[in-house]
Amino acid sequence: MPLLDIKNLKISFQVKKDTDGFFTTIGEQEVVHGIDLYVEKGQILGLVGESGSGKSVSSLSILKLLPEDAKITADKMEFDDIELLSQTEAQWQALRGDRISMVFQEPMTSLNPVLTIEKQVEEGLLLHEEEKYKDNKELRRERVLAVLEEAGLSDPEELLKKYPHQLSGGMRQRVMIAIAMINRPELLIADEPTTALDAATQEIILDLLKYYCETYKTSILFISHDLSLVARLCDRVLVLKNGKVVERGTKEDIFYRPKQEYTKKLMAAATGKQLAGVSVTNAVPLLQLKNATIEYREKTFFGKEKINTAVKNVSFELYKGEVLGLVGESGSGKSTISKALTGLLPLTKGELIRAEGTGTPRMVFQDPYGSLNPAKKIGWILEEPLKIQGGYTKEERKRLVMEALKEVELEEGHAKRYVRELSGGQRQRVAIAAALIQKPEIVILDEPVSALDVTVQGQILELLYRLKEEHGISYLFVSHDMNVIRRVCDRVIVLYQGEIVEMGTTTDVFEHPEHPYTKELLRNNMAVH
Amino acid sequence: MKFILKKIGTLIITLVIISFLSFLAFSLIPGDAAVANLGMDADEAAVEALREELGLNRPVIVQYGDWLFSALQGDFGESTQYHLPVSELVAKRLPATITLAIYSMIIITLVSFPLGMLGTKKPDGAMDTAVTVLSQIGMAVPQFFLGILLTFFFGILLNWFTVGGYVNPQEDLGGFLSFLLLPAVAVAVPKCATMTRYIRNAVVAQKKMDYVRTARGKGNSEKRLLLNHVLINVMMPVVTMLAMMAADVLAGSIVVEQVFNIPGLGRLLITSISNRDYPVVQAIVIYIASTVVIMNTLADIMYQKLDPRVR
Repeated sequence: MPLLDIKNLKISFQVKKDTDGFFTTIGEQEVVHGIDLYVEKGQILGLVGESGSGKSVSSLSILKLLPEDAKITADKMEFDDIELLSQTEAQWQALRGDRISMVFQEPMTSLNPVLTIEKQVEEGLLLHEEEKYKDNKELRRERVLAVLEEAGLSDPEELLKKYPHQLSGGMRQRVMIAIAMINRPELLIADEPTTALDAATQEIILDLLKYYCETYKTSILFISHDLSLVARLCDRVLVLKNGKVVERGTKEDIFYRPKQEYTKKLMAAATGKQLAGVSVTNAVPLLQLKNATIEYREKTFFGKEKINTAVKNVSFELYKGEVLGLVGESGSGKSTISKALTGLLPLTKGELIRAEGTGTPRMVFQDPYGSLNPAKKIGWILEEPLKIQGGYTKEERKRLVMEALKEVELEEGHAKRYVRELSGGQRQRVAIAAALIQKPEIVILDEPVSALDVTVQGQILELLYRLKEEHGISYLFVSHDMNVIRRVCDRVIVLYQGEIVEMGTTTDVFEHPEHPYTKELLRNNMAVH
Repeated sequence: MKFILKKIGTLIITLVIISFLSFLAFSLIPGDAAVANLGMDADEAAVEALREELGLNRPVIVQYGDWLFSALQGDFGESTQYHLPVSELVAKRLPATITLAIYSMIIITLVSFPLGMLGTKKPDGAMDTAVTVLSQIGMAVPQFFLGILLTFFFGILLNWFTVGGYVNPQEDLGGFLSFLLLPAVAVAVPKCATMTRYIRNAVVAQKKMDYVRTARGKGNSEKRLLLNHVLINVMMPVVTMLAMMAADVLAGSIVVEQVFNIPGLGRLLITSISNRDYPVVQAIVIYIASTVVIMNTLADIMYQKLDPRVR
């Protein structure tokens, strides 16, 4: 008898038309077309698929957390013999956070920014066991401290009065998990809980989920686009595509004996196809960083200076036509180095030497939506750097914009669109076109594919590879994702707390890692092979 | 605390700059107190003598220092039209204006919060649309017209109060308060409409945030969600807006004071400008500037108290 048993789940949204501020429903769009799934007590079920596969929507429907206009139907949607779909709103509220809890992808935005950690964690107690906890502050605090500690937060007392923005990403996600677990739910739904975290923290969160499952027999529905994570955590796996189940089976079935083409494709994307392959023979580097140290100075109120060393004594060279990977977790100094190379940040010590005829490196950022002006059309965005540079006629600029669009496999029509009208992959193509339009010798790619799902990731990586081959550009590829690094980089630099701990060819670093931190990174990232 | 001291420091500097600029502006306008006192046709020598006597021939910066020194002691000079100390004139008009402002702010707060949240349960639903239409009307009706309408209905048709019958608070406090109610409504309605719309948009925007989904996932009812999670986040932009409105109504609601015949600062300002009574105008300009700056400082301090991220 499964704890959660869903048969033929269908979800559709209303398609609305905006006529002068008044919305009229013009139809329905079905996004989930009849999914069956069940979770046994104490079992972990993985739900895998790309964005748009319906995995998040399906999981949100279990707690009825979808927008009001969503229509959910199912032949059966039972949780411990309760038919969920016939519940009243009050009955839903009694279930949520008590018997079924949820952890979301982005812990920063998923926590209330203006309430203390204590308030947010204890809320679950007050909502579901009000009589017991309402007038007993000590008991409440005792529970809060216990649940925070259990979630691996070493100094819970310290955290009580803090706010989400004062914690690191990993700590926030532990707080989220503590919130979800405080009433010991029977079912925990985790929607991409590690996607926003770096590799080492990802691993810790997975261990934590396993711990709850083993200790309290908590059933977990784990949603992810990352097959390597699912492989390590889940007992059974469901592969979703376009709102339908493509393949289902035990972990071993899916990973060692996948039947469907799509599953194989996802596997290939997760493990990666090699795109690197330039051996560095050129003697003269395009760019050299010599003994660079970068400090941030913060002034406190009394005029004292606090010095924060982000990068310590870092030296490396970037050669023509190579892809140099810069790996490390958040806070390791990756972004600081990128900024210094583009001249956005001065070096405190050391030298930055560019070979003659080499222009300032251009940058492509992780989040193209945030880094492209939403009020301007694509054509304008691409044209702007040329205008600033000067020396082009209007016609020449137009021609260059069209060429750049073609170069990144977009159409001329895209020039007339706004950023919001493009998909994530298309936006990243625009960001690449904007970086390439001035024909730079060096492009810095700062997590260029981290926000994209695996198939789009693959397409963008192949595009970058082709552009590099055709134009002889050098890339500095910044990423925390070892799979991606292995696929595209010729050489790799591993950064740890602002220092280079390992540097070498990709093959060397991946096959014979020397530094313990590199080994740790690899172990966390490369589980599926 | 440090933050507050710093804010107060900035506030004082701002006020000094504003008062100097307004002083400078008035000294540049042709025609000064000497001419105003003796009339346009007065003997040139007499005017010059009076100038010398009043110290108007000294450099502007010295005159300003002089003025600032007396102003700090509460002496803003003498009105050229009433021949009374400016401070006394302003002090007499202040109670009406401030009471009117407090009244309107209370109405704005009491009406716009519930009204703003009313339609947010279902954005673009029937209730939301009704509130939107209502607030559009409120924003569109000019204050003077609203004042006339209110006077007509409650004063002439229903006879609930005497039209234009301002009551002196020292004589009859109750009468004074009830007289100011309708003018306060006239001041508040357009601002209520703006505020309602503002709160509504803020709530709708906040409700789309991820943390709201988390709060729902914990088992919060819609009501608790709104009160315990959304409202505090909505308060931050709203407090700033409220402070700006408060500064606006404290500066004197010129039109409404005119329509209801209230002897407030707004009316004093109008008569002083038309009579070139510069000492009074100068004092009122500084009063208005001060309320705006003080209110903004208060908003900053409140904001800082509400939002841990800027602490």
